[in-house]
Amino acid sequence: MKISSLDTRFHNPKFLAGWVVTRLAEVLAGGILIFAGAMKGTDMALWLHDLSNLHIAPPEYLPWLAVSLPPLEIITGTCLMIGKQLSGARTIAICLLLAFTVVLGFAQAYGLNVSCGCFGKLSGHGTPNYILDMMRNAILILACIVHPAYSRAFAPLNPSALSTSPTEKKRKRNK
Amino acid sequence: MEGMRIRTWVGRHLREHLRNFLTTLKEVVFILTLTAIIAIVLYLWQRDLLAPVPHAKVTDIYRTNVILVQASNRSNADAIPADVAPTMQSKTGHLAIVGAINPWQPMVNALLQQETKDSEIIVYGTSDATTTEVAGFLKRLGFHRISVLYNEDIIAGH
Repeated sequence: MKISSLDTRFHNPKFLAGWVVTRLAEVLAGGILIFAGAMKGTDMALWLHDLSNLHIAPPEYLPWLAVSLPPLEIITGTCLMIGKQLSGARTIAICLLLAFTVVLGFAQAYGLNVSCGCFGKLSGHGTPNYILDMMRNAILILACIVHPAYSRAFAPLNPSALSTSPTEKKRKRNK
Repeated sequence: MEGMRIRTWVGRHLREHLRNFLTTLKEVVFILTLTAIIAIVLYLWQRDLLAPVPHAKVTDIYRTNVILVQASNRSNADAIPADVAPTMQSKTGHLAIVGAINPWQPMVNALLQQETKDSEIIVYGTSDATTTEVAGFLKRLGFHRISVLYNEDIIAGH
């Protein structure tokens, strides 16, 4: 993520404050994704067991799903935190969280009484509260959406002003 | 003149959206590729742990040196026909009844402490989460000769 000194929006303290807050929300969402992925990855057998209880895929595909989701969450969360590959990471995070929410919705609708496995062994194996989990996912999705939406809503009137001007290009070439 | 200006405006916006879309797509592909590489390494590393637990046959429970772990509470155990249940208990060296006791993990741990990791264990119970949970727990302890047997299979005589 690059912040140009030519971007006059950052000269406005109100915009800057909003930008920092929305970016922090995104960083926090990334941190939660990393934590969730790490907790799943540390006890793979338990995570596989939780996945099989949710009946989201045929049993032969479950091990592949179990090994894929924790690294995907960790990589996506890291990208969201450090601001690299940001738009791709946002897209994946939103898709991932939407998919989890749909699964939780089905679990709630079918009256399942199994752990969601969202945070590995920390998810607890008592009575699950899928509604609360779905609300948490909705907040995380919002955190991923709000920062680009905010930046776009306050886009500079003339985007070309942010790009290097012909005189600057000439000066660089002469150097 | 006006039409040309509109076409230019639309073209510029379309190009911008297409460029953004392609950038996002490139980043998504990069993240997914990285994930796939890590997932393959993880799968190869944890293959034994992730392999599904095989199903035992009813005849397996009559073999000696087989440890039976009953992964269900007493009411579930009542589902087993009376002529089968006593036989199972008399033929086994150890019988752990888990599910009714919470937390059951320390009890299983203590019971199997003397056993080697090569011991053959059959976890039996209802075909619900408890049976697979117990089998998964034993797998994590390092026992690799584990199979499950469901009450429904015992009743059906498979």
